[in-house]
Amino acid sequence: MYEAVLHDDHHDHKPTGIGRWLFSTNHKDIGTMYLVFALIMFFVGGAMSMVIRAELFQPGIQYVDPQFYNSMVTVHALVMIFGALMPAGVGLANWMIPMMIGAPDMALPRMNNMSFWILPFAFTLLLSTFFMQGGAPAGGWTMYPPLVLQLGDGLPYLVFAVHFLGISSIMGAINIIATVFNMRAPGMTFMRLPLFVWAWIITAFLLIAAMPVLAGGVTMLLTDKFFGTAFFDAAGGGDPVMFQHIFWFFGHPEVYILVLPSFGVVSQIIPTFSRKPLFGYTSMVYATASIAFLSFFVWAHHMFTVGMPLTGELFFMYATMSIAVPTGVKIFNWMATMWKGSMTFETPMLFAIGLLFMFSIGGFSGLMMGITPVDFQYHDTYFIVAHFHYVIVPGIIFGIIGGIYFWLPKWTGNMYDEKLGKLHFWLSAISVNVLFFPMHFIGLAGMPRRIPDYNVQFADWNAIISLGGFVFGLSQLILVWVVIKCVRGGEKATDQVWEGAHGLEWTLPSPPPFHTFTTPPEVTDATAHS
Amino acid sequence: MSDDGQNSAEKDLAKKNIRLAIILGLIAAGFYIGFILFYF
Repeated sequence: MYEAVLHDDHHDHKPTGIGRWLFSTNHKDIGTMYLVFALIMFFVGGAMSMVIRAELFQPGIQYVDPQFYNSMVTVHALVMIFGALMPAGVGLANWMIPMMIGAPDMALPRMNNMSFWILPFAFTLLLSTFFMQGGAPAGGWTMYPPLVLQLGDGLPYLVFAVHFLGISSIMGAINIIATVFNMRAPGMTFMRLPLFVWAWIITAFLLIAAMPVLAGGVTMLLTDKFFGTAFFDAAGGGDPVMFQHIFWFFGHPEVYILVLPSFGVVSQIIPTFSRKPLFGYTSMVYATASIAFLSFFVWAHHMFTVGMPLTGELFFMYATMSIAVPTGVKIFNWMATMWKGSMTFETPMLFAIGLLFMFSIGGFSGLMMGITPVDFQYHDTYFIVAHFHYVIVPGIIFGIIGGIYFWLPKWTGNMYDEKLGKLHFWLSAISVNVLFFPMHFIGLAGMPRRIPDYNVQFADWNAIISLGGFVFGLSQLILVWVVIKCVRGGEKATDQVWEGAHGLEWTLPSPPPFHTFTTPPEVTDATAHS
Repeated sequence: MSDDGQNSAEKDLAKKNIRLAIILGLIAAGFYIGFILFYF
């Protein structure tokens, strides 16, 4: 544990100019850069989804050719997952983890800078493929061979972009682990850590275990294309289905890499606005760890229809269902925290409760498609699109947005506009259901995913879905306005900000000085989060 | 944070951090290389 060794309270000055951001080693500045980058990518990926929904507004080909449509679907997913959700989670971690554990900064500040600056470079590589012979990746974010190998000049750029994103994520994960393991303030034992920190330690280990597998898989794609290997080429003795196993061995843990930090945020928000300690802290820690552990044993539920032995299908079906148990523990504990609490419904709490309800819808549809024989009907339909968007949008994104509203007064020193925040929540919550819930109906009725045109029987629901999509997309501009307004001024926030807030981060001034906890605080049961 | 003027406790902490980072980095790189070699 980190002891009283630091020295730099005498030079608490901020660097100025562009150098402050280019060469930053300050966790708060790097956290801000991650969050701004994620927001930009959220709108880039969101613009692509608007193209998709405009095209699907009615049957027939309207605005874009099918190849470009497929690129939109593929790059939308890559940008949202690797450019928006993961960096947003890392941004929150950068800002909050050192302040929550009483550390002056991240353990490896220079590596922190590097892991951020790799991201714009990687996305320049990825997005430059739109201007290349053969266009941008269009075979789906899963990059299945042999389809992906038909991509033109963009393939090596896609593969290298994925490598760089992986390197960035792994460096970020290493930094978080080193920070939490070595930099905790005296008295901040593991079982006193805030749940957000716990969620991030577990996520960091998931990243270290899962990302190299993806990198290995896409390296093999590259060598198959350019160096004469046949890892996934049946004609050369390889197996294209093997890539699907490799991809989903990464891909399923990736779902939890995205969702666990959001769960961590919710575990901070709900006790604060219920004015009660979190119910079942220890079980929350074990449930989070169990979800992460089990996530490595369920990958083939993404590919039941590819053909596998009955024993395999049964194993993956039961393993998938078993994840519902620790997830249920978490949902139960959040509800039990609210039970008989003195609840108030400020914007962060609204987003947290929205997550609770709507993530559960995505969780239940996940259970449905975990049942092997039933999945044969759902596979590659809009039911799947409905499921994972319920997990990702009102699940993960609501958690991130809730976290932004929760910590924004701490970061800026100003309260955000609560009316606009609530307007943002209600517009988002209503439109997200108009957008994604009817996808269950058209999916069950047989509408396949990843197509630019469809049978007229699906026309009405698709028009409604697109309208929901446009309203949801536009609603997110409210968040941008709220953040800008809050940064520029407003009612001054107190140090504690929220009446029910507990933990080291709330003992710091709002906004916190550039360097915090240069002298480590002494953590006791009273000052620890629980 | 500057390296100049670090006291011995700070240097020990920095060493500990770098050691852990190297170990975790080697684990990740090992997964990557081992994984490709496994299929080769």
